[in-house]
Amino acid sequence: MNPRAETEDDIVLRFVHTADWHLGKRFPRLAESDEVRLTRARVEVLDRIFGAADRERAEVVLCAGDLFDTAEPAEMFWQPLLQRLQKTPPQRPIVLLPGNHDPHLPDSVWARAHRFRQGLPAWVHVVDPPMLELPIGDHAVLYGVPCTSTAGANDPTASIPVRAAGDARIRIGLVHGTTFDVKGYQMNFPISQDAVIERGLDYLAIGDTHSFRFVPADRLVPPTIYPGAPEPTSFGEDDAGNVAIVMVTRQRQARVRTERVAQWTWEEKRVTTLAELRELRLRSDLRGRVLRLLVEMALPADELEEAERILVELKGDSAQTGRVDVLELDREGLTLDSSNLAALCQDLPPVLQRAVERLVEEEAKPDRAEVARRALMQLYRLAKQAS
Amino acid sequence: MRFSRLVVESVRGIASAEVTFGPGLNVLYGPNDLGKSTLAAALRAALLLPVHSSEGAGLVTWDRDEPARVELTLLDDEERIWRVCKTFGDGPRASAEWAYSKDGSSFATDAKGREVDGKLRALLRWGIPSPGGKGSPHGLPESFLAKVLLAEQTEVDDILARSLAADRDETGKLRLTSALSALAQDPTLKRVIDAAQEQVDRFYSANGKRRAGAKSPFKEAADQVARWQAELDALHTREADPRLTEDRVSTLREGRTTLVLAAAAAAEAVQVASERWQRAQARSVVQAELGKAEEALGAHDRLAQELAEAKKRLVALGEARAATEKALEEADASLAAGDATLAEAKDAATAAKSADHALQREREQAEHEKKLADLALEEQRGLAERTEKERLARAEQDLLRALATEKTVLAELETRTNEAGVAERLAVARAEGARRAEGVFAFGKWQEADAAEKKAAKLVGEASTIDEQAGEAEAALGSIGEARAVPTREQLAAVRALERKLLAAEAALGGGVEVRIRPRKAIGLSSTTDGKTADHGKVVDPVVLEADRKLELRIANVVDLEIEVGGADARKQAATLRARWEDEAAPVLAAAGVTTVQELDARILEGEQATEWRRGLTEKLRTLREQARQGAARAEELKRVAQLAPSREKALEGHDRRVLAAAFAEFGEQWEVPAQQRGDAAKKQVEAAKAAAAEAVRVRDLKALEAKQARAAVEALPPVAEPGRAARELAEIVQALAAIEPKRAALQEALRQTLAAAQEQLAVVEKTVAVAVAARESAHGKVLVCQKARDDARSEHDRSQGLVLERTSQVEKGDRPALQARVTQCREALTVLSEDVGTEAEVLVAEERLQRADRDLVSLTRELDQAEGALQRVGGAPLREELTRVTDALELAKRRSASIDLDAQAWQLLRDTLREVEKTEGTHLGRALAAPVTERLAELTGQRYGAVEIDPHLQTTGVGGFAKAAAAEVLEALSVGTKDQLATLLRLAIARHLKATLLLDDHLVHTDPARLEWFRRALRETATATQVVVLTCRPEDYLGEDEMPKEGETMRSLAAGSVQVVNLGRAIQRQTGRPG
Repeated sequence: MNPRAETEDDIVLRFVHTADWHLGKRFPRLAESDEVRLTRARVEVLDRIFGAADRERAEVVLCAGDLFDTAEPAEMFWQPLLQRLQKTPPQRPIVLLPGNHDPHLPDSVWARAHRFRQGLPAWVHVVDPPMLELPIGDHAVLYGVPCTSTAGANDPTASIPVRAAGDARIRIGLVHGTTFDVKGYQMNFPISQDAVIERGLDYLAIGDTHSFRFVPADRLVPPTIYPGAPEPTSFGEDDAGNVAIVMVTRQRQARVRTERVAQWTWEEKRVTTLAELRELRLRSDLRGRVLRLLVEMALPADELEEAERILVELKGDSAQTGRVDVLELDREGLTLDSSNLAALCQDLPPVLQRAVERLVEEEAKPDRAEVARRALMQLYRLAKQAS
Repeated sequence: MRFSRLVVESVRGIASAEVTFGPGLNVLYGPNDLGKSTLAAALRAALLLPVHSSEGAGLVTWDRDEPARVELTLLDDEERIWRVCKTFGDGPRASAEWAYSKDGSSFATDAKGREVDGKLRALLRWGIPSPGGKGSPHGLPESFLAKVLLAEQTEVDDILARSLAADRDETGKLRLTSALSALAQDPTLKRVIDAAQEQVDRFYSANGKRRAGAKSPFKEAADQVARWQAELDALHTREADPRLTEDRVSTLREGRTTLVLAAAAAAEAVQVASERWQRAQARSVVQAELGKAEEALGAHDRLAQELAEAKKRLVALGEARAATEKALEEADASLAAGDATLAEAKDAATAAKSADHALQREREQAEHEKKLADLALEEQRGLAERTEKERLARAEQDLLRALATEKTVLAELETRTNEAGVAERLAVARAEGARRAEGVFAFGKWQEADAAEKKAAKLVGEASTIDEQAGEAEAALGSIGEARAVPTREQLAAVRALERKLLAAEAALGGGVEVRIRPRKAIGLSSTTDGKTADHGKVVDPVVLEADRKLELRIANVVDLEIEVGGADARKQAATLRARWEDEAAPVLAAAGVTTVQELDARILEGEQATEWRRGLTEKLRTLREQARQGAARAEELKRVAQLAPSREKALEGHDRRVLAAAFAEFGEQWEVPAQQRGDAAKKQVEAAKAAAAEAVRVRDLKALEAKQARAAVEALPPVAEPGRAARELAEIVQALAAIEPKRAALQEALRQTLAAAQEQLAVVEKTVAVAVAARESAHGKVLVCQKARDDARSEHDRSQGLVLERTSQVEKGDRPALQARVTQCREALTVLSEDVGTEAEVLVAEERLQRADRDLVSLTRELDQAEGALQRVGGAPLREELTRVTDALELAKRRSASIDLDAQAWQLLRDTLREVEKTEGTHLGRALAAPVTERLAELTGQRYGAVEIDPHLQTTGVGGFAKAAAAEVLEALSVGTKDQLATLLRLAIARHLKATLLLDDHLVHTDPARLEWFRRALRETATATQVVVLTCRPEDYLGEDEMPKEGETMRSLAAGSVQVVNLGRAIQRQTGRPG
């Protein structure tokens, strides 16, 4: 359904729904410089989120939890957010909800005594326990229920009052947790799939899952939406990188569409042939990409050299920038196929050919095979360079 | 090692001589027969010749009885100063001394006798074994280095032909190997070893230990592992050992238990207070009931009293009736008496007066009774009003309670109705979802069936194509035919190795042969040159034939001449290898239908490609056939499915297909299982929603019933405005009284009238009395009046009697026992109801306490939630995610560390392997020297010659540069002078690398001036690196004119001491008349 099809007069409320910023998140598998870039990207995406709110003339911005990766982030992570929030227009309320990663605890960033909290402008609302009821004009009302711990078995929507008879306002819920349909997360603030009906809501804004989701899938009831993380946090988050743009009509029908704000795309790839690796090298979309590359193949020495060169080209080194912006390379499966090594070494001096023969003999010993294979490849490479 | 000073006494023709050497070039010049060669011999003897050697005798001046003495001072490589002093002579006169000095002037003996040569040879390391041992040489020992460094003038050929292999001791070779190792290596090998060593040095220290410093790759990797391990341990600690938080949670939980108990106690207190309050209210109700019952009983009793009084009044009225009847009788009697007597009229008048008094009294009594009745009525009305007010108050309370109950029930009913509505809507939504899910599944099945026919057709088409491809593949396979049997790669390698060996063996045969046939007369000549046969016919002119390996000649059919090049061993080796070639390789080539190894290689490759192609085609054929079979089976299956399409389409009736298509599109290719699952889930949801809706409706209906009951209870209450029973009774009483009142008024009126009549009668009687007789008719009228009064009295009596009957009836109806029982029941109820009653204020206090306890409980529960949150904060999804991340990072760091270990081991293995092959096969000393010697020879000869070939044992084996000539031949063909020069270049190169003193005993005598000029520069250049001693009779060959010692000078030092010139004519004192 195209939300733009609604006439302007039909729309009585516009807002932006975002969640799971995870400011301060670490990426320990990556190189330190790459980790810094991705951590910084989490701050940079804030501009695009609030920019989307400007463009869409949103009346309110809902931030549904896990805005920080921990409850007590370092100042380097909350200070940029604070500065960015201070630049937002005063007429647009922004609601910050503590999630299970950054629960509302006495010593958390959400505590009233915390410098982050104290620096927040008046139009930025933190959802304090037990619940925030925030009227949006006289036509809508927001009910926010925060996480006060990292795990819990209670449905946070249970605290939201049901719609009173005669209450015709647009009712929006704002919680953080996992809907019942996600297995294994029953202790992660489970949220009833029917909460939106049970509580008489017109829109339920949730955070936690990092991919965009419309719950339930048949879309027969008012929307329960996970906007997903605005910048992906890991591989496999297929529909991450968006915010939800929501428009509510006079008939209290909520129209939802996604807008991409991510700078980075995360991709996992496994290559088992040199042809695949060559193909990867020629791809033009490797910028702005975090690529986990698993290389699993045994190649003859000359092809292995080529594979090594391509990998260096992809990853970069001190002399050149890699074609992939962030490459998490697992090349332990890239090994030498020494079966034709002797033929490849025919041009080498006899003494080096003898060394090759000895190393091939060594390779035949099961406990020395890997070491010998590596030595063979090193020898092949050095000999080629030397000659 | 270099010479410092030589002192010679009585050696051959030299009586004495003393020469001091400089560290660089030493040009010792003098005319022929001066004793230059004797000095050279003295140097050799000092260094090499044992004093007891028979050759020592050759040094002694033959006609003198003096032993020959040689004293050489030298410096070793560490610049330590040594001196060897040898005296050659017969028997005991021969001696040797080895002495050490710190300052060059005073020496301390270090060894004597035979030990001296041992010390010397150990110092020199020239490949000469120590004297005295097995195999030790006698006389002047020889070795490669001794020859190279100290060669005599005539030994040029020996120098080039000398081989290290002939040395009896390894020291020379080791020294040379050590000195030349850098040059002896294959340059590629050297670079590879250097690079490998550089890598090994990154990982390991010089003593082979793993590096642990800041830049160590091991450390970097280990640091990463340690870092992530520590982090993981910390996370596990957070996960596994949250004791403090647990304690806090435990304390808070205990506190909550206490508060829960307190709240329960408060609730109980509220309950107790409420019960007491309710009991108080109940008692009040019962007491009110009792009051009412008692009042009713009292009213009943009063009615009974009234009845009694009414009965009494009835009696009175009866009496009054009787009195009226009596008065009538008396009036009759008075009338009769008036008729009779006036006196009696007076009596009658008196009697009438008396009656008047009685009536008056009766009237007063009636009025009194009326007053009493009014008072009783008033009292009863007051009582009734109070009772009514109390009843109204109770009714109001009851009504309010009932209304409150009804309101509560209605509110619940509304809530339940809403819930039921929500549940029903949800059920409807679920049902719609389930219907749609079913529709989507049916749509999928229909579409599957609909598409099946097309797919089947397509598959049939594809199967046809596959069949064609299979046919093509089969045809191609048939066209390949069976592969020709080709040798294996191993056989190729063996043939190639054999070919290399054969080529090497043939190369070792030497550089060929040239035969010049000069016929003295015409002869028939045929030849076979290296296997190529040629018939030269009759030849007259000289014929030159060349062959690389073998030349066969048939001359005039008379002589068959076979000429083979190379030494016997080499030829034997070559023949053996040729035989092996014929036995082993030739059949392989023949079998493959080729003649050369290259062709064989190509044939093998071709065979492999054909095999591979055949294998590929076979595989392709198999795959195609399998595809065709599967395609056919699939097509059959699809056709069966296609037949189901109409029936499946029916299932779609009632659905919007566009909606179904859109929903179906979400599933993608593998739609069936998820669609089925969604359908099942939707059905379950429908059932759950229906059950929830039914439950909600049931609850709503229950509430509705409760609401009806509450309404009925409200309606069942008496209207507040309706008079109560007491009022009704009062009204009835009042009504009854009102009914009686006219009668009473009539009675009173009757009494009044009676009284008036009596008074009138009295007046009449009195008048009659007064008038007597005339009033008899009036008296009669009076009788009538009396009669009427009597009738009225009778009537009144009757009415009173009716009242009595009515009251009696009322009393009887009042069911006093029941009223009494009610009173008793109420009293008993009061007895049953405990007197332990409370007030509403107490209830409010208890409720306030309960609210406080609830607030405390909520507050503490929140605190507990936070504490439990803190407890969960060390667990929960974030920690699990962090654990996963850190575990991954640790795993990666460990793998990297292991990989670095493997790399380090690989570098070590490579380095060791390279060194091993270098040790066994890599050192080629000839290669080390060939390059510089070749370079210098080319420079010297103006590029006339090519590469100088020197074998690994430093034997010079050839000189290149002539295409058609073998290097050995060129070497052999070199002029004497060029050979001298080549030998000198070799010696200079060796001396330079060994940093050993080189003795040149006029070795360049056959050298032209131009080349001498070149050598002069070369010697001076070499002398910058090592000591060179030149003995010459032509100093101008080595020195400029201005460099010669001046007249009277024995020695001159030039070029800052790097060139020292010694005029031997002045340094040597010759034996008188002896030749040098």
